[in-house]
Amino acid sequence: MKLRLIPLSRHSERAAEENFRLIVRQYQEPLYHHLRRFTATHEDAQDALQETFIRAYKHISELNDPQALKSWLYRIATHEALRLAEQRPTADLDIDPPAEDTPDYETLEQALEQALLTLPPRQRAVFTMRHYEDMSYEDIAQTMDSNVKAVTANYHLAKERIKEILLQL
Amino acid sequence: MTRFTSQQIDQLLAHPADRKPAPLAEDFLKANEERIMERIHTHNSHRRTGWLAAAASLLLLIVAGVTLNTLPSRFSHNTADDSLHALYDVDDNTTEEELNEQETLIECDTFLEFV
Repeated sequence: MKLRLIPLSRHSERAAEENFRLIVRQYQEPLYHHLRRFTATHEDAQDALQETFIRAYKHISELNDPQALKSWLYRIATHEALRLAEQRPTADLDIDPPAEDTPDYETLEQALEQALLTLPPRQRAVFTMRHYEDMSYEDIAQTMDSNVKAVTANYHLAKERIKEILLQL
Repeated sequence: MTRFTSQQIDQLLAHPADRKPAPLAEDFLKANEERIMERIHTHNSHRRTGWLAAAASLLLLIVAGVTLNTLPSRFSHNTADDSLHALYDVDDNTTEEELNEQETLIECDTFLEFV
């Protein structure tokens, strides 16, 4: 779908709203999954998703390159999730040990998702973008207004911590 | 007892996850879209109300300014008399002609000082 962003500010409000609806329709699902991985609850992810789109609508005139829309939205979403996560203490969750003696890959994945929630927000965000979305360190650094060195360090710290948690189960 | 082996965990963490998240329900997506659009619509309405209020305030200020500007001339007689009585420290029985004469003298003095 080709999104016509430039005329947004020139059109009437109604037309601008309808144009923006197309953006919501196209990006709400991937953004929800992105947010859900580093927010503790579905409600938090939903709140962050709404805030992301409201913020995007208010600032869309600042987006000079329509090609950068996706990364721009991810950037807003990541900041929104971090803001939300920093307002709440890092989860101190009881992670359920696997029910079977020989856990399968899916059980391990579920344990990983639970372990993720115990990480500090920035480590959680970096790990999520690297592990689930296969983003480069450069892209993650750009999304988080950070640098590659800090992002790499956060990723490795996150991995070590997750391994430690999973081994204790 | 450790259920996950170090090797299993390393294997899990070594590669990007290839498991795609389950698609979200259509109803959820539709409801979410409507909630977002509703909030955007409210934001636009508030913004429009804000502009209208600002325009109304500006109009009120202009009207007030114009009105105030016309007030001194409308009430000039009394205002001038009162201020002149106070300025020249004369009693209230001093006539208007006498006051005007004094005012003219003062204006001449001021003009000469200025020159």
